[in-house]
Amino acid sequence: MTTIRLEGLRKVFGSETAVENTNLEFESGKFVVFLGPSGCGKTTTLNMIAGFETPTEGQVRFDGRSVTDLPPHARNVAMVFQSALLYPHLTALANIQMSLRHAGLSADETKARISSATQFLKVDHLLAKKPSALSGGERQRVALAKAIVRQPSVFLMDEPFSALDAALRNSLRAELVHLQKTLGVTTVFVTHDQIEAMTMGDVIVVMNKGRVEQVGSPDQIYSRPNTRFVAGFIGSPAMNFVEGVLGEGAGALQLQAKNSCVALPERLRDRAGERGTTHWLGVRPQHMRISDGAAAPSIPGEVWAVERHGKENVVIVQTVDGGTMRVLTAPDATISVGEKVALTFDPERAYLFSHEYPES
Amino acid sequence: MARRLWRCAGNSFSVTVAVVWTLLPIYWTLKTALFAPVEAVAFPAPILPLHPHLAAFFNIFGFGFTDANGTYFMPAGQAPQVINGLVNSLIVATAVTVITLVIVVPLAYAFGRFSFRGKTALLMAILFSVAVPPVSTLIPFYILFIQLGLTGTRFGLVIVNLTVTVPFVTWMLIGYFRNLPPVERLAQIDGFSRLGTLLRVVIPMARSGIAVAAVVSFLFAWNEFVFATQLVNGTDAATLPTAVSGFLFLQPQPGLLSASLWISIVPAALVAYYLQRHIASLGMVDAIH
Repeated sequence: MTTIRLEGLRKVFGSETAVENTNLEFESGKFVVFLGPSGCGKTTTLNMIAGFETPTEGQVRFDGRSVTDLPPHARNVAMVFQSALLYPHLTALANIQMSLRHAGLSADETKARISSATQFLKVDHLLAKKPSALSGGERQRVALAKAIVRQPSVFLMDEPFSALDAALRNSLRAELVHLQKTLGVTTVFVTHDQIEAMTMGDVIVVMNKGRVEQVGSPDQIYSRPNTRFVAGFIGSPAMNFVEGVLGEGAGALQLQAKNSCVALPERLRDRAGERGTTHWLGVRPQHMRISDGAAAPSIPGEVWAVERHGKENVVIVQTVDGGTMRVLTAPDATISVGEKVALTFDPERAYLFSHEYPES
Repeated sequence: MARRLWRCAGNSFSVTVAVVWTLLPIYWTLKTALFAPVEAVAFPAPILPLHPHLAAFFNIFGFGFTDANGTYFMPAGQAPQVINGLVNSLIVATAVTVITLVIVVPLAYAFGRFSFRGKTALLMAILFSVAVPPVSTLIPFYILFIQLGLTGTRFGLVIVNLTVTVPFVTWMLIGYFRNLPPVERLAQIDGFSRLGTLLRVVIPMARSGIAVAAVVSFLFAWNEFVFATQLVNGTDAATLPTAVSGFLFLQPQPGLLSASLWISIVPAALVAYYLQRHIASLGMVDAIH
């Protein structure tokens, strides 16, 4: 049971700032996911929590105690690395034993700890094998056993599922969440996969270009994105955007795009920035409809492709402004490529962003 | 069917050519060693020795030999040099192997895994010393060693061998270390120090690469002839290849020469064979999996 606090954490490599001034606090027992594209600073942040990197500025605190100057093994953290890295020349058992080198346990205690960890993860029949003889999923479980056997105060995971196929990833996701909830160990998980983040995290930290864009529960991140970046990064298919200049006409806000003009719903007024500046209107694909053009607001376009997903179709429309928009439709809707259509959306479910990234 | 037959015949043919190509000279040497002196000078040389005997193998180690017909073969006058050369070669090759590994393993590890100031320049320096033909340093070494009193010593020969093996093996191992999985962080979490990581994690993990490096340095030092001829020939420090070459001069002794060549092949072949099995059993596997 450990709380993690990052105070004014900053990391500079040469002339590049990998992580900007970051202040975050995570409650004990939470599953925290750092989410962002590659190079956004999420792994650097994790490395500072683990103790692999020394922060240029700022403090890392576990339960209020600063661990900033402690080496990794003295922080009592356990880590699962990319592709569930293990020592390739050692058996699964020897790999797990390595975690207890400094635990100062008696031989009996060591044995008991290892057998409870390996039984918990159902890897007790694999202990004599070397990593090269294990399947991807087995290797993941052995790596997790190696992590939990230490009974760490914090779990750290650096994209452990990145090398696995989709089906295995799905089942391991649920297993890991179950494990984390059972043990109640504060966990920091780094990923670039928004589905992993949404399905596993209690708290998601969305990072971009070394900055924290938004922190919140999966629901907050999904339904109340702070920035255009967060809105575009979360959700599949991704949110549609109309880029245009914000203006006012006929008593309503409107967005003047390249070749069209969209009247904005009144409720977006408090999200609007300065008139005459670039804004983005965002609508998720499930909140868009293909209409006859009579309904307002309306964006004209032409069908570019249709993807069939079984329970729904994704119609990709090229708008008159040159962008593409994705619309979810019923699987039985008949629509063909090249058809002229008009898109309309639910004004209650639209977003307006005045900045691409948060103001610094 | 016919195509498969042809392919099979083609494969067998090329394997046969390769085997004959490599083994024929070795067989020829063995045959010459087993010849009676008369057969050795016969023309055309017989394919099989007519009266094979092991006289030459006894003679080079200083023993007399009487064959089935009662002919007595005298011990070779150079027997002490051959025995001494064998001992010297073993000492020099072993010393070169051990010192090379002690220097090269940390060196190649540092080059393969860390980035530091001046790395590229140092790498180029190593590549350059690999590229310099050893013969070009022969005369400078000779002059230097005369001044330092290192001619005619095994110590001097070890130094000269190291100037070749160290850069060559370093260059060879850098890529190997670079491709090992990134276990340093794992080791850090498990509480290993930098040195502990190298000694207790990386070296055991890199056994196969280090075994190859050992074979390469041992065989180089064992076979080295040019420097040995210049620096130690005719002294107590003479190695086997130089001692063997003595059978070519003054009074040529093809039988004795061939027998001592065989003696010089055997230890090298054993080292290579033993370590090769070691390497194969470890398997140069994909480092990640």
